[in-house]
This record gives sequence, C-alpha cells and structure tokens, in this order.
Amino acid sequence: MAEFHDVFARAVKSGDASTLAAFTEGEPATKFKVYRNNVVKGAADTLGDAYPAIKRLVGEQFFQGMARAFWAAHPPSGRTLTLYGDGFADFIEMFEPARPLVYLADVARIERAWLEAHHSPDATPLKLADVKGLTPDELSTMAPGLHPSVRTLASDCPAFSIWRTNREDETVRKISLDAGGEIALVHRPHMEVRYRRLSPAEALFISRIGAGQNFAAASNAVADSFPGVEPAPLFIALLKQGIFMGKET
Amino acid sequence: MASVQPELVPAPEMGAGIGLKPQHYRSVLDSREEGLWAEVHPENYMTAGGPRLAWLEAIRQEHPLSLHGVALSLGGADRPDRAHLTRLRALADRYQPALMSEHLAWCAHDGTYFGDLFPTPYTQAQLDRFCAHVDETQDALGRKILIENPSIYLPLKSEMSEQAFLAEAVRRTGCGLLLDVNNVFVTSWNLGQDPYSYIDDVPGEAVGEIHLAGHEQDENLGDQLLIDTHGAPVIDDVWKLYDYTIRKIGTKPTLIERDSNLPPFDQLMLERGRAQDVLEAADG
Repeated sequence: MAEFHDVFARAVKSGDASTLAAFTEGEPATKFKVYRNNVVKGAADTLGDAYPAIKRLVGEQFFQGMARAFWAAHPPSGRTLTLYGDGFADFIEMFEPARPLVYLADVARIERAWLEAHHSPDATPLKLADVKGLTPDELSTMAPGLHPSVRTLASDCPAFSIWRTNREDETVRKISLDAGGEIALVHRPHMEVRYRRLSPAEALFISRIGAGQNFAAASNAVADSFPGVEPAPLFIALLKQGIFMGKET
Repeated sequence: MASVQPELVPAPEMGAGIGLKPQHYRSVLDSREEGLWAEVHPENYMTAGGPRLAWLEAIRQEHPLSLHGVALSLGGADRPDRAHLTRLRALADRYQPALMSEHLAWCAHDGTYFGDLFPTPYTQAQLDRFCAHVDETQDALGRKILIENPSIYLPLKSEMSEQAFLAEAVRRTGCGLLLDVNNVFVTSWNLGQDPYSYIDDVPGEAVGEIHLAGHEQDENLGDQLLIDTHGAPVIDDVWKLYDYTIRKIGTKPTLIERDSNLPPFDQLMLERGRAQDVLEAADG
C-alpha cells in the first residue's frame, strides 16, 4: 500500500499518470489531472496572494509560469501554506526569463518582509513613556533589540517605490531606475503592517540595535558615519514608531 | 485551563455556520444571527502572532468555533506529523472549539506537502492504517474528531465502499463523521452511483456535522466530471439531498463552505439562512 502513495505522489510531481493504472478503476490520465492541477494551481495562487506586486509587475500568465517553476523546484514541506514562498525572491533572481527585470527580486524580498511581519510574534514595542523616567546614563546603556516584526531591505534600485506603487496605486506611478537605491522598513508594531523608506542613517541605527548594541553605541555609529545627522531626533522618531522591543511584561 | 470535552455532541446553539474568511471577520464578529457558528482551517492560524489570531480570539467569544483540518494526511502512508499534531493541540487548547474534524484523504508524503486532498484506496490494509492514524490523532488531541468523506475524481481499486470504510473506522476508533453532502453528490455523480443510497448507508448517529458547498464542471470533461471547488453557490440537487439527509438522520450543525469567488457577507448569509431554515423546520 505504501507503494500506492509513492506512485501517486511521484505522478503528482511529474504530471505523468501512466504508472497509476495498476491502482485505478479505468484509465487514470484525464481524471488524475484534477489532482495535479489543484496542487500546482493551489501553490501558485498562494504565491500570488503573498506577492501581489510581483504578479502585477509581470502579469498573470508570466507569474503563473514562474510560480509553477518555483513549486517544481521547492514544493512545500511544512503543513501550512501560510508562509510558503521563502526563497521565492532568490529563485526570481536566478529565473532566466525574469533577468531583464533587475528590481524584481528585491521587490519580492519586500513582499516577503510584509508577509513575515504580518504573521510575526505579537509583542509590545518600546514606548516613549517607557524611557521618560530614565537617567541619561540608563538610556544610553539600554540595548532593547528590535521588535520581532522589524524587517529592513536595502536595494541598489528603487525597489521600495516600485513595490509601493504596485501595492497601493490604481494607476502605477512611473519610477526611473536611475533614481538609485532605497532602503525599505517593514514592521508591525501592533495589528497593522507599516512600511516606509529609511534614510541610510536610520538603517544604520536600526542595524546596530538589531545587533545587540545599546542606544549610545548606535548613536555614535550614526554620528561617525553621517556627520550631518543628529542622532537624538532620529532615535526619538524610531522609538515613536515602535521599532524597538518593549520591556517584557 | 479545563481539558477539552471529548463530546461529539455539538453545542446546542450550533445551527448553520459559515466558513470564516478574513474578508468577513468584522461582519461575523458583529452578527447576532441565531445559531451562527464559524469554521476555519487550523493550518491558517498556525502563525506566531498577527491579526488573524486576534480576530479568531474575538470571534470565538461570540460564536461557536469548528477547527476543520486539511493537513494531517490521515489517509497517507506515514503516521500523522507529530509537530503538526502538537500545533493543532495548542490551537484547540487556546480556542476551545466545539468541533474538530479532518478528512478521509491524504495530502503529504515523504516530506512534501501537496495542499490537496488525495484519494485513499478502500482496502483492509489501508483501513488498518487509517484507524491507527485516527487513534493517534485523538490521543494527541485528547478528544474525538469527525472524519469527512472526500470528493472523488479518480476511482481507485478497492475492497469495500467508502461508506463501509467510514462506518468501520467509526466502530473501531470511536471517531465521528463530518458528512459532506456536496461531496456525496460529486463522488456519486463521478462514479455513476446513487447519492441517496449513499446517505442511507451512513450511520446517522455518528454524524456530528454536515458540509454544504458548490461544485463546478471540469473545464475539459464537462459534466462527466464534477469538481468540488467551493467556488459557487450550493445547487438545488444538493439542497434536495440535504433535505433528505436531515429527514433521515436528524438535525446536525451545518456549514456553508465557500473558499473562492467569495460573495459579500450578506449574500453568503442568505445561503446560510436556507440551511438554518431547514434545521429549524426539522426541529419544529
């Protein structure tokens, strides 16, 4: 009986039902297609829901082809499709027909960040009120780490702007690839996913906090690398947006 | 936290329910329709956190809940995935569902999850294995589960009927049945059998829930092959079969399943109201 499951599973992967005839009443090929189509279409639809901007950028037909190729190379292993598609961006980067779209993989990375932030653990971010009573010394040596939903993505192209207009706008804005690189922030401080573009100084501050450094060290790093930037207001703005991990309750 | 009740008998307030979709979270939460309940695929709630869990928590305070699993692969060659069972148990402990169910089907093999419900040969050997999987699941969950009859597209060489297979699984494991009346219709149609005689064979006292859904014709084979798409309204022939079922086995919590081409909430509730009317008429 294990043999039946082996043969059926192989047929679903290959699309070739001829080996199934020993187990079926009647000729299997045409009716077997229903199962194979359900599986492949189900995976492609799941990816389409998770990567709406990619689908919009390349069109339904191209997306279906790319998603089916991804499924063939990386079928789901976990028992839920909620976070299926890890590695889709890397796959897109190497997917020959998509090569001319140099921004596509980074746009996909932002979509993935959105999905991960959406389903990330619930946690209360550090609030302004939490640090109000602290002495300057206590605040400086505080190393709260990042809120678990925080994702940042640096791209050599305007991937964030491309993603955003394809996600939000009925008519997409024209974006020139000459606009240069961007850094995206995606996070979910409470129930709704938020996103915006980060300045390089903000991104540096966030990465230092994420690496376990304290506020003073992160501020010094910003002051050293970006002489024109005041670290204090930058820190307050990030704090208000719920980027840092709150105190355990 | 109290242990989960092993009862198969549903909460008395469960009339007709609907499959819960994120688009309808707010409407379901606010609805005070008599008998309304909600069903979800627990796999969609196996996340670390996020709004889905918060919505389910809120809706659970207002309406009975059913967890209808799709990924245990009870009809498979392999034992149920232990990590998946653990996650399922955690959801059951957190949300205290009135009903929990799975399928007479399989969907995973050798490390790959296919995300579709594949057919099981109805043989003695497979029956033994299926019952062992159901036993293991019920032990892990600390409660009985309902098993749903699948839609069959490709008939497999078998030693007994699907009804006999299910009845024997009920006898051996003490599980209940989730009778999907649309699946009975689709399977019977595809296999050239009589759906009414299928219903006659079902041990009615074991049925803890009924599903109703729409189906569509296969795009290549037309009316030679019906596909259980959950993407259309329930057809009149299935409503007739449902009436017959309720007359035959008594009232059971009934769910309108709709997974694609999702209509607006009010429209879905009209369809759900038709099932509620059948249940109330039968009770009255």
